[in-house]
Amino acid sequence: MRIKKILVITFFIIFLGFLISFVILAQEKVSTSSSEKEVEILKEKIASKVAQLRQENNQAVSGKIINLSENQIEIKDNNDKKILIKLDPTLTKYYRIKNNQKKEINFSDLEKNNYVVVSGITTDKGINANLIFVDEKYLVEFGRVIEINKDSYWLKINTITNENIILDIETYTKQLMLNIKDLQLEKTGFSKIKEGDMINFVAKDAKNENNHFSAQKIIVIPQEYFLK
Amino acid sequence: MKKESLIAIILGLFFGFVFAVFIVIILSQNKLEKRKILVSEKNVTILSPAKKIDFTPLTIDKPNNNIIVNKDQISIEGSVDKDSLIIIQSPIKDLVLQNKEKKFKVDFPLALGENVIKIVVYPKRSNIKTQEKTLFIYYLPNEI
Repeated sequence: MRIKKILVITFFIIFLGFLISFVILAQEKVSTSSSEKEVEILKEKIASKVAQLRQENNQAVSGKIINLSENQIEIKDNNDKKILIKLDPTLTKYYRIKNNQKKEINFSDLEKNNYVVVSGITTDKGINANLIFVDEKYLVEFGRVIEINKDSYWLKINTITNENIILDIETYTKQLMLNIKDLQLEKTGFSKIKEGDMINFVAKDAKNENNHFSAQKIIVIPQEYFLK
Repeated sequence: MKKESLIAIILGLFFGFVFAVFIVIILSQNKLEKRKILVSEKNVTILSPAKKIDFTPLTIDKPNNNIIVNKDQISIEGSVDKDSLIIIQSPIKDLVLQNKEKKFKVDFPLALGENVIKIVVYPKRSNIKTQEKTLFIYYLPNEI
C-alpha cells in the first residue's frame, strides 16, 4: 500500500515536471518566432524608410550653367534661383539628350549656358549630383494673337502674364486648329490665323537671329469658340 | 454564530446588492441623456446654412510637380469646372478634351529628360477667366 502511494506521487511529480518543461518550451518557441518576426518587420520598415528618404531627398533640378569649375557647377533655374551642384569625379555621370536618346559624355563637354537637368541628393548647400543631362529647354506657353505680320510670318502673342512674345512661324512649324464643332485638332495654315484667336505654342527657349522665338508647333483656338 | 446574526448578514448583503444595481441604472441613464444633448447640438451645427460655390478652379491631384519618374507615361488627374475645354501640351504631345464631369484623368506620354507640360483650361462660362498650370516632370529611367 505504501509503495503504491509512493509510486503514484512519483508519477505525479514526473508528469508535472514534463508539463512544466513543455509549457516553458512552447513559450520560448512562441517568443523566439515572434521576436524573429518583429526583427523582420523592423528590417522591412527600416528598408522602406531608407527608400522613402532616398526618394524624398533625391530630386531633379534644371537650369542654365552659369559657372563651371572642377568639383562643382552653378546653375540658374527657371525662377532665376542659383543652385550649387557638387560633382563627384567617380560617381557623377554625364549624358546628352537628343531625339529622345541619351549619349554618355564627359565633364569636359559641359559648357556655360548649357541647359542641364541634374538629379541627386539634396543637401543644405545644394545637390550632390548623380546624373547630369544636357537637355533642350522648351517654352510652352499660350496667349491671344494681338498682331499678325503676313510678310515676315510672325505673330505677336499677349500671354496671361501680360507679356508680349513674337513667334516666328517657320516652314517646319506644326500648325493645328481646333474644329469648334467636334473639338478635334486639324491641320491649318498661317493665313487662317486671326487677331483675337488664342494660341497654345511650343518653342525652343532661345531667340533666333530676328530676336523672335521659332515655333515648333501651335494650336489655334478660333475666337468663334468663345462666342458660342 | 447565532442564527439571527446569519440572517442579518444575508439580508445586509441582499439589500446592498439591490442598492448598487439601482445606482448603476441611474448613472447609465444620465450618461445617455448627456449623449443625446451632444448629438442634437452637433446636428444644429451641421444644419447651419452653408454658401454654395459652384465653380471648380483648376487643381492637379496627380502627379506632383518636379517629380522624377521611371516610366515614359504618366496619368494626369485633376478637377476643373464642368464642360471646360482642356488643352494639355508638351513638346511631344498635344491633347484636347472637354470634361463632362468635374474630375478628369488622362494618360500623357513623356520624353526622356525634362518634360514641360502646360495645362490650359478655357471655361465654358465666359465670366470665368482662363486658368493654367505648368508641370515639370523628369523622366530619368536609370535614376530610380
